[in-house]
Amino acid sequence: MRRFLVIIGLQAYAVLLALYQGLGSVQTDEAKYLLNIPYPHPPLGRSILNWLEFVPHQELVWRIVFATLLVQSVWLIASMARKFTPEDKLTLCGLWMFAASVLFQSGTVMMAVLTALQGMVFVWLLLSDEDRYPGWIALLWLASLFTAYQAVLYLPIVIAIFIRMRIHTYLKIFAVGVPMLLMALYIVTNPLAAASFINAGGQNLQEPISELLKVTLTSWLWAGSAILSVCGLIGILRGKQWALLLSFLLVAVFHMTSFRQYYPVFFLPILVGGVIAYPQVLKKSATLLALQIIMATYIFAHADLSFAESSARTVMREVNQLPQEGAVLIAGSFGHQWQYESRSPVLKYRPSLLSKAKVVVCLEECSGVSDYEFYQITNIPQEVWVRK
Amino acid sequence: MENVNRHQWLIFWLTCVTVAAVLLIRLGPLLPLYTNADLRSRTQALIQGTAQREGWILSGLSIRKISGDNLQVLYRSYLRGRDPVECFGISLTSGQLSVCDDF
Repeated sequence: MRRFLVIIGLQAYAVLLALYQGLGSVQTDEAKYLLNIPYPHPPLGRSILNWLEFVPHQELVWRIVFATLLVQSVWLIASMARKFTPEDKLTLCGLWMFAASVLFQSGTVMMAVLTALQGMVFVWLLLSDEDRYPGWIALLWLASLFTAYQAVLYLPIVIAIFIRMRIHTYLKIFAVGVPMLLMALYIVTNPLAAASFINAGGQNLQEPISELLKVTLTSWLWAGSAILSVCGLIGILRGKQWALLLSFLLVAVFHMTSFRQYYPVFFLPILVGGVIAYPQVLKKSATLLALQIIMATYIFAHADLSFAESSARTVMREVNQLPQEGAVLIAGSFGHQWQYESRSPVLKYRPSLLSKAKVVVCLEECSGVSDYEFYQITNIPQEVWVRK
Repeated sequence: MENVNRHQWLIFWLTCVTVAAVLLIRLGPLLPLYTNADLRSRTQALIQGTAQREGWILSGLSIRKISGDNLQVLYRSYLRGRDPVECFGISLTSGQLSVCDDF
């Protein structure tokens, strides 16, 4: 009964986190996954997201699923910490629940969340000495790589898992190598994904090294609300967990080359692994948990809370009600959220396309619209022209 | 469950072979782009120019096939609900756009 109540309590927490994320609007990368737009990531994760496209609240459903997966994975952590004292186990679970990347990323429909969860399973496999299922682990490795390329950040952990196993060396090499070869083949068959991948990989190279280090350091501290971040890293070093350390360094280098605000979650499973590997780091467990809660509250209080609906949603709600047929032309730079909110094809604005359009949305100046048979809608946050 | 576990490697290999087969089939039409640098740069310029002119979003474009001096592309308008897909031929010599006959 007590466990059941904990599950319900955790679920309520997960739903609240998902609703908190849903108060804003769908972000461009989330829209890309929800619509199954084929770049930059391989298709496994985004195809599954797209299965529920017919559901009116597709976005919210997935937010709740993602938040549930991240929050309820505390049971996996409890399982890894089964040899801990009850106080230490509770502290570790608390460090997870109040980690900023759980608070702020669990309700986001991002592949980074799924990759971190897959990373958590690999950390669990590494630290649990499980070696009865090499074939399933190889399959999980393949699935992880075909969910998002960033799964490769956990390669040292996967290698360490297979090195330990009592199977033929060639099987170990194939289990790790064949999924990576297939991922490379996927990149070759998707020139757009390859271009986007290469572009993202080098986008931060112009930044000064001090700035890159600062961003990476902040991301690491933010990922575990500072307390789990520090405890986890100490645990990795004192516990001599070289696979975890290499993965940690890979994630850090990845942050330096192409930082995104949703990448900190990649640190999370590695940090938990560090604490599991060296539980002495939780010596003052009550103080650590209290500090973690204070840090989480501080971060939440200083977070950029965005409860306003995006202009894409507001504008498209109006546009979708119009009886006219035709495309929606958008002038200026726009994200995939405009496609997600639209029921009509979205094209970039060109004056030559006005004959095909039912609506023109001007995020920047669009010349020539007023000369055509369009009238402007008022009381809307953007300049929107509708065919008469 | 134990029975399924006994076939875990078989399931892994079958999955790998299936994925490889699907990817190799997809790679076939793109092969000329990897073997001919001139064709690759011309194709890239043509696709970008046509997308610019037609207002297409690049992420909606995929190459269907390249034959002779004709490039066939699919344009999918991603939106909530069923995505309309259109097929176009682009002449590699003149850059002229036409609708595919066999789509």
